[in-house]
Amino acid sequence: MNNFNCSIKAIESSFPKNFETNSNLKSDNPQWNIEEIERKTGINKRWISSSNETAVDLAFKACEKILLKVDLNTIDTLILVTQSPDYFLPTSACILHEKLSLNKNTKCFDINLGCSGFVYGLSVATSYIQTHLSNKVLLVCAETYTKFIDKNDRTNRPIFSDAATATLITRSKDANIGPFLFGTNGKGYSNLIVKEGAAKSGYVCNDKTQPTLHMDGSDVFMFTMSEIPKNVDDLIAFSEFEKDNIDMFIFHQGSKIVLDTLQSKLSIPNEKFYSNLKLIGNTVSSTIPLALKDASDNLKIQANHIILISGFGVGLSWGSCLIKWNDLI
Amino acid sequence: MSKLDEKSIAILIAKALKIESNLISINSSAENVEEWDSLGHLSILQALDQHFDGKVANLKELASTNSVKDILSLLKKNSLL
Repeated sequence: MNNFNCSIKAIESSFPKNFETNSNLKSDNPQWNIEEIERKTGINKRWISSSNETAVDLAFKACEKILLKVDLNTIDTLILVTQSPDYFLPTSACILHEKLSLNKNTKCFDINLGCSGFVYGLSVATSYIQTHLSNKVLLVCAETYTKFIDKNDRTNRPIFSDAATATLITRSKDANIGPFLFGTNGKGYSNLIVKEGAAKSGYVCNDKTQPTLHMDGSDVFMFTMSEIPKNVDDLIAFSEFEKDNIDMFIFHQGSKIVLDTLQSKLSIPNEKFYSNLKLIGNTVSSTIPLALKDASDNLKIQANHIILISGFGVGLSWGSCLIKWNDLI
Repeated sequence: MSKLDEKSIAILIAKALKIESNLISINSSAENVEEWDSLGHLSILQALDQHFDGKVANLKELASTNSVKDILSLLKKNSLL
């Protein structure tokens, strides 16, 4: 069994100052059926980074809150999950390292994944700790997808939101995290894509002023319906638990229709299915740590609870794992 | 799961789109039904998946269908009708 002697000790977050509600969407696009959009997405409010505010800026603010709780000199690894880098190079984690004045011995690198990124990052963090490469890992998720979204884009604008989270992972006497189970279907890479600005477009954006997010919503929906229930069931079968032993299921908070469908297909009772996207939106890799923190603060998850988390999206990429919960500091 | 005929599929689609069932016919599509937009299509996929006990989740082509005829043809091709 691939359980790791690690635990999540702290989660902190940061949001931009600006936000928009569905009333703002209606003002910009009077022809949109906002009530129907909200019914399907389950989202009323999204956080919007300002033009000079980057994912690294948001990440920095989330990390500052964590560093009030832990000595920064004890952090030996910084993993930044982002698809909104400050530059093509250098690695954004190195910029964050400088901003935070972390120790020179710190390992720093980015993981370029979206909605599955937290689970992947958690697996790397726990593997480093388990193999004694690290003792304290700061796993940071930060995105500013809204910069890729046109004001009139009815598929993406009602969903995506900007945020950063910082999660502190440390060694623990008990095996608290794992097992993990991952998957990838590269055939679907173009279902959720920003095409402009990088090598394939000759590093230009054609007639557009900035790269634009494109999502084939139906394809992504079919992908979640076909892959995620199987991934979750396989993970549980691979673990020492039965489905009934799991106290809470926390999935990537993509949209209400996706969450409702997964809950129904997996027959998860309401009291064991967590959702907090209404006033936050889909913050990509941060949705799971935000939901974990929220659920912990609201005592929906407590020490020794068994939590199943699952992230899925751009790639197409997915991953799930089990966590035996510890109280956060 | 019950075996559906073409009319029942039309009713299922209308229900998913929250419109009267007489507004959906064999000739209906995203082109001529206002409610059949990208969000409406997700509701259709969700309703079909629910009705066919998860059997349509693997019919990836269903994502790109945009008419009753396309949906019926795909369901028939996969022996679901």
